[in-house]
Amino acid sequence: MTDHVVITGYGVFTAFGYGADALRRGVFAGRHRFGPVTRFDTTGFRGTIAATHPADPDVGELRQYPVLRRCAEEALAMAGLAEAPAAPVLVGTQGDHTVLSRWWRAVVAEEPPEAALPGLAAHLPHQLGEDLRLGHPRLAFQNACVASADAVMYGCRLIHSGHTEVAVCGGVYLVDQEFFAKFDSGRAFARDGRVKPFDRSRSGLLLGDGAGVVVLESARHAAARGATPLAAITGWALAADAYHVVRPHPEGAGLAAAISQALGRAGIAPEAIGYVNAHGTGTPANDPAETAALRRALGAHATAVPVSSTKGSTGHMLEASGVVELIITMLALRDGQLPPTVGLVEPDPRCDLDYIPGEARAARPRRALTVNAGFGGLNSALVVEVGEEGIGDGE
Amino acid sequence: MASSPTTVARHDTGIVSGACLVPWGARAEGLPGAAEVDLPPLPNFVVSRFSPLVAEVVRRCLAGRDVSGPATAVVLGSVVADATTADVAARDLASGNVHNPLLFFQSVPSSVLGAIAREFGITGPMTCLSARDDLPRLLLDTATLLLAEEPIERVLVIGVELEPQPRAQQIFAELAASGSTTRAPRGDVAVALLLNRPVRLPESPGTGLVDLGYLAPLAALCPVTAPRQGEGAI
Repeated sequence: MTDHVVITGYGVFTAFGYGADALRRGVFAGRHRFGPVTRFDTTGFRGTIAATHPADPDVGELRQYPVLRRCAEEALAMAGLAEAPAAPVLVGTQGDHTVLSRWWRAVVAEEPPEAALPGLAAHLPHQLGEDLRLGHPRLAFQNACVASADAVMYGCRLIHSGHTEVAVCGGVYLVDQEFFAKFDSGRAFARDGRVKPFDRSRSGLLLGDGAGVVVLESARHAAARGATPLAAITGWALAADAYHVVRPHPEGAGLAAAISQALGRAGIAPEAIGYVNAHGTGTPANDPAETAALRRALGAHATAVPVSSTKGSTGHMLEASGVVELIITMLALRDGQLPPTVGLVEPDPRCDLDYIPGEARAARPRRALTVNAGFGGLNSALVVEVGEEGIGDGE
Repeated sequence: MASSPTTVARHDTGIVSGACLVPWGARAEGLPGAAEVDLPPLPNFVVSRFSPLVAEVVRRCLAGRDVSGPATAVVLGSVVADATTADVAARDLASGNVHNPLLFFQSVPSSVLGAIAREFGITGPMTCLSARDDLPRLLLDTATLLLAEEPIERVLVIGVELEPQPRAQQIFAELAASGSTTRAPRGDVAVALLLNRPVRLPESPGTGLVDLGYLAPLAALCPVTAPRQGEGAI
């Protein structure tokens, strides 16, 4: 792997906890963490279920910034970078809406509100850059569920174009009352309290905690300092549906275009892809559209390649989805274990690909796709590759 | 609402066209966020002026141009983004009221990009960015990065900020107190620029643009700017 953008470190958090082993015990073991939300009062909502991690008894309530910072520290430590003063900080986030909630609760109670700035999306990359002495630019990506995939792509572009050698890219979303209320009012939640991607009885999504940070480097820079790449990102693309404000194109036009462009950038044919981590939200509209997109972009290979959605395990992590699922995809390649689609029991006839129901599958592909889609009809695709030396030595 | 008309092509500068919307005028005085002229409605975006403002400035910037297909990228930038929608939703929740279902899809700034993509047939990459400092420069840097990629031939850069309401005012005040040079505009401001080559910000946007806050340097790139009531050209 030379002349590529490589990943040399990562940190990850889901409802299962921090780190790769938590993902192995949860996502790869076919478990889920859905349960009644206790983080805030759900009285009056139709839904009450999400995949949340309990509060840390030592530090109390989980908040976005400390979780993101810990992921970044773990990523930099894994990369062996004691400092990265020139590294841009690129984070997918809508900001910490618990700050917004508290501000308005104080106003309604006619009490003086607390600081508002910590809730600003752009505050997270800025503070991360300040605290870890990272570089610029420090950008928040707010394009919904492709946000952290877009942050990773931006890092890839900066490295590929020679603007930087190292980039710190990630995303964070923790289940909060503001977004829970919006999705609840939009009747987006699964009625039966389970996410069932590609299943005939799927009825919607459920939210889940998520955060992830990857350290991207030019392969040359990593080699020069003796760092071992965990994987390479060889292809990336964003594309729009031009179809609807929120509904996906029913034939997956934008997602198919993103996949085809990413494969083209990677210089590979569809047959080179050995696993796809799907967006797979478990909503009635997404899953058949995504199936159509995979068929459109991968052709005959679509029925041969194993595909799974890990949202049946983690829940929908909104802005964090892209980077967390990139890390899951990388782990799948490195461990030789493809994660199952938790919640899939009886496939929808319109979702007729190999969606890995039940349990993880042993396989050792070198290349995988991870795809996401978001409000606005935005679609992302990343091609992840491990070298022969990178298979089977999961850290 | 004062605006620049869709402008003549200036390919020599990399700016194909541009538009700027600012809401000052006698009838807007004392009405935070009010406009001299109502914005054309954007279906289903009824709570906030954010998305209608974006849609209208884009329509004026792209009028008469075919930007359909994958060769057009879109970059939307805002420091606070749609604070109105966020505030209405949070206030309702804090007051114990039921959420308006329309807030569901208005909750993220990328939703309006879906409306723009559909209206103009744009299928290239679309991103929404925020930064505490230097956002106009970062938007142009992003356009430069995108223009270097196949198959991108043009990038629509949009900067937008609403007249800050109390929470956003506090955010901008806290930004200033923390040393940031980012300043709020004194009314709703939206700028759209269609670029086909890398473009740099002017070193000085001119004193007449100071009311546009941090978006002044981006507005200064609009090839034509409209006169502002009583204060000459902006």
